[in-house]
Amino acid sequence: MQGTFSTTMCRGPLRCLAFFLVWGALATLALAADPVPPRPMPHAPTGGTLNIAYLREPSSPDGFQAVGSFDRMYFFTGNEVLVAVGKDGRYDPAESLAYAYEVLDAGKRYRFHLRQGVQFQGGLGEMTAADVVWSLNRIHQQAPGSRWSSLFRAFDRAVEVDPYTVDVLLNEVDANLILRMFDRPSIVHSRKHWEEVGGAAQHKIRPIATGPYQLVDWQVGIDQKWVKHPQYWRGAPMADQVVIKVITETRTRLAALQTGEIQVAWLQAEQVPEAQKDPNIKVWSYGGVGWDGWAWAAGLPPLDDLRMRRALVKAVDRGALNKAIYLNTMQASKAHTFPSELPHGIDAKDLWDGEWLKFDPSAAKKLVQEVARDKKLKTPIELQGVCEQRPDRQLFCEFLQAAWEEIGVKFTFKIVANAAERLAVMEQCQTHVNQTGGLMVSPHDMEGALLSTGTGNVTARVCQDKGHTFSPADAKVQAEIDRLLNEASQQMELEQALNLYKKVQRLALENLWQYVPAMLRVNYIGCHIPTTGGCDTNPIRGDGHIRVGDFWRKR
Amino acid sequence: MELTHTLRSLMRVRLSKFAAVVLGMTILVAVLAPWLAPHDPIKSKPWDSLHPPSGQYWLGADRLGRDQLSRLIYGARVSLVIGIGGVGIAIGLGMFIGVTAGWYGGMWDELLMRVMDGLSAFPGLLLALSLVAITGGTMVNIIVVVGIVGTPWVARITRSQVLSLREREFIVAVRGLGARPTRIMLRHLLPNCLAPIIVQASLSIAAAILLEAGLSFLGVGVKPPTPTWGGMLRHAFETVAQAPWLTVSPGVVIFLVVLAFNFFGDALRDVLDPKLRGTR
Amino acid sequence: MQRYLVRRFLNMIPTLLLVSLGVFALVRWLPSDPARLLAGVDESGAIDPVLYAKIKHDLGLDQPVLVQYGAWLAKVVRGHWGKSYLSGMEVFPQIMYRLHFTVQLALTAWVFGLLLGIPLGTVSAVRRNSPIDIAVTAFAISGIAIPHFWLGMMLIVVFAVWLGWLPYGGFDASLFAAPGLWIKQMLLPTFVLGTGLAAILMRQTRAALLEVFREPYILTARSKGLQEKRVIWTHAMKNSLLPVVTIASLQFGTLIGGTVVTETVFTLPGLGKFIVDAVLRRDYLVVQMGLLVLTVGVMLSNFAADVIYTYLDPRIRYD
Repeated sequence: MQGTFSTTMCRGPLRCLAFFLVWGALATLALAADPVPPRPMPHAPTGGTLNIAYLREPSSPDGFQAVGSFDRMYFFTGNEVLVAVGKDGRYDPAESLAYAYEVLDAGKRYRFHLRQGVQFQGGLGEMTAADVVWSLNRIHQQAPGSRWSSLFRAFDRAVEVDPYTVDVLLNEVDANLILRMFDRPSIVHSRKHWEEVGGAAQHKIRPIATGPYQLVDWQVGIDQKWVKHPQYWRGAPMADQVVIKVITETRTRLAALQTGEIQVAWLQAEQVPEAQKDPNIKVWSYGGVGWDGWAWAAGLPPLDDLRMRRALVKAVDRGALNKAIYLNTMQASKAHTFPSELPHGIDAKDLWDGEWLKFDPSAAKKLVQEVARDKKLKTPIELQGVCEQRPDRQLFCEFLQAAWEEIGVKFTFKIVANAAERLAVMEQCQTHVNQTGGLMVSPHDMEGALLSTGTGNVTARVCQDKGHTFSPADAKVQAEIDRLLNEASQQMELEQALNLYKKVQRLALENLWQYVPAMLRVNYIGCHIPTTGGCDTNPIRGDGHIRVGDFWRKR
Repeated sequence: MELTHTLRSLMRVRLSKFAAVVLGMTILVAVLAPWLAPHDPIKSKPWDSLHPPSGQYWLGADRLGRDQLSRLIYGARVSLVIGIGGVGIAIGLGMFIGVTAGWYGGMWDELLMRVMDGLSAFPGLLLALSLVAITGGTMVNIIVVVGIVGTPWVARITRSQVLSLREREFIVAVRGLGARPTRIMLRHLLPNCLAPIIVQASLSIAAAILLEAGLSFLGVGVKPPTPTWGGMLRHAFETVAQAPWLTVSPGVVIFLVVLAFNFFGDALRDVLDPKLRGTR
Repeated sequence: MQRYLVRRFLNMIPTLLLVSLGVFALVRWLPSDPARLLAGVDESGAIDPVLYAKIKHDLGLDQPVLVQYGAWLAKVVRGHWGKSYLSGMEVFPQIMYRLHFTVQLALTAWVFGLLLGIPLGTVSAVRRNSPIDIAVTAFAISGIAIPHFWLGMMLIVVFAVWLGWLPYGGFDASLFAAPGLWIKQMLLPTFVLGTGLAAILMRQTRAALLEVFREPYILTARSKGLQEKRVIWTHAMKNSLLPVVTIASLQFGTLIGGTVVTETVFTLPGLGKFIVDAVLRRDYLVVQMGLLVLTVGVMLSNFAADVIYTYLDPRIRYD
């Protein structure tokens, strides 16, 4: 290359100087503009409509407001975050709105460098620092009510440095900040749009973001319609339209995928074996993104006794649970909420396979009898639970019911519609067990889950004066967990924070604190090969979900 | 003409024999469930999940390894109790409303009949669903809800009967003799209303069983782990690929029992109300 | 006759008011607090009490119940049906969209029921006690007893999954724009919903015809040497159709109310499914307005049936 330049361009010293000056200027401009080029779209546009099928209604089209972890499958169709997570679970600048960031002021200031030329949907102009600052500062705003305020207690505010640079100022050091920002809180929306439509209520319905497709219609219970955003910064979106349908019936969702009416579908355990046998369907899985099990109120007797908690865990045969409820498509957990294979996780085989938590109904029964004797309770001991109506969750509860009956515990449960209602029931302070699961993308998810600094768990927050009290031993556990979590949040280096989080996980598992992560969730996606492009490589990101922008219609 | 008429009656008789047999068996099975069911319907045996029909599990096992046959047997209890109990409540409440409305007339009649009209205008399943969502899915609540949904037709039939009976000679005579209204209602009016109600009751029990199955199918019926036929169908279809046999038995059972109640109602109509013979 | 109809119509009004009161009360009793749902719960589960109080006030939930009812009724009549708590979108257009579909489905199923039930019932009556009669009667009987959701699911498994001839469900076709697709999507739901009606009409037609066949004037017509077909069509049918049409008209109301299960099984965008989903999600306003609309719809179609019946039956014309 150099040779060519010198022979063709550098015929004379002036010409050579001019050439190098121009070349240098261009190079500098190019470097300053986009040192990390956008990841190009995987294929040329083929138009048509992509049909995606999902099992549940999203809680809100505005990702920032969305409650369920599964809502990611919806809102990431059109919303994007400042710092995106890649397939390996790490920061992926090629798909992020901020192509780089620096950590300044000993960890109390993060400087994000924004891409230039990113256009909002609907012709609302270029994304600048003003939009990013406004989007981030929503975290602590009261209207329309932010879910992230307590999780981002280290975050003070975002300020604009110049049109393409944003500083995030922290109250205290937070090694986890970037991990927190992989997700909804750092979705960038158009401030102009908010002001145009007059505020939260309207904005929530049709938020304007930077992603490849723009939401144009939402028929509750039926589908959402998104149309392509031609000025998408990574290149032309590959389909003209995306329709995300809600198909709650498992059988019909699979049937739709098999006939090709649906290109990509979320698969549940019951559908996986049959989908895998179908030559037209490619099934992708991603393990360890979450857990299934239950949460409980450790302050509500008789759960305030660790022996009782242990007994309830030891009564559950997780192999049988996997077979019956998940048709052997999940994994029994060997750790706490992160799998042992991940750097965030601990190896707790000694606890799960050892005498402490191993499946042993007769030992469990003895423990229950001990507790009943000591606390003067009559058997069978009665426990209340709350379960979500979704068939697999309901079956889980029935499984628990049968398993616990064997050890002298009578478990009855209420059935409710969704996570928000489960929480509401728990807050009435009379329910012991909440069948639930969680998505564990990064350590901050576990942190959030174990948040028990007085604003966290149900017992501490709401039910202290309504019949819940921690036993002295449990109070010590709570205090120690609080201490460790606080210390972790003071760390500057993620590695140091991780070590402390591992200690928290171990302590939590030993004391069966807040959660019993019995199963590790494996997410399954089905792709209809004849009509869909993008199925060849595993499309699932580090948060366990797909990005609709990766797929196209085959012609 | 005569031959075909007799053949038809015979077929009716055969059908009502069939109905009687099915109903008898259902009631017997429901009552003797604990002795008839080969396995515990509630205790789960997860290692036998989705076991195909075999010597041990005649109709197969469901997702939690519970014997399908035993669950069907216990499910009969639920269906019959809800069906009969619900219709019983409907009859009790409906007759009370119908008799008082028909007898006293005036504003009371107007008010009651408007309320009945309103109640019957609500689509049955949706009304039941909303009420169960409010009160929770216990057996008692569902029986009451089914009863409420069925009250209007009883009230209407009773009221129209009372209206026509009120002017009849024997009633006028009894009134003239100074009998108290309650006595008249109980001893003279109610017994004469029973015939058409009993006919319709059988058909309503069939409807109540379908209603309960519908509620269970939508996920708001009797709470688990109590086996219900509708709930069993709901779960069976999720695993229709792995265990298609599970979808057949509950559907067939619901079908047969509902059919039997329908036939029984027809037969009762032929016997009790000759005026209505042949119009259905 | 007109006075009778007007009286019937006026009688509907107090019932309508009672229905609205019932719907309002029903929803107020549902467990769950809409103000809470709207106020939004943060990740740690706390709600801002000031925001909560403000939302409660905005929704009027801090007023006495009767005041709430009055205010609600006034708004409903003016078409201000409010916004769904879940989606934040206007309830009125959402309900209308789905009502549009439910009426389509009910009408189609009704026509199907009529087209299937009456001819089959006629054949059954004319060829009394023949194998055809037995077959038709058997079909009629099953139509009443078979649970809709079972039939629907079985049809999906057979026709959509195994054979692949028909779609699994869903609906996005327009009758005029894409008739082929419309037929494909409507076929199974119509069949499931319409068989019940067809069964009832079959038996009704058969019984009515048989009744009429026994009448002396039929004997007279036959002995005059008239062709059997003419006997059936001009004499028998006309007189037997009255009860059949009456029942068919009344059944339309039942169909409108009974689409819930079919819509759920086939994932159709109908009002019944919308209400069920809203009940399960505790979306108050949608449940309220949906139930109200559906119930009013049923009442209106029953009234229409009344009108038809009154026109057809000369005997009650001069009431």
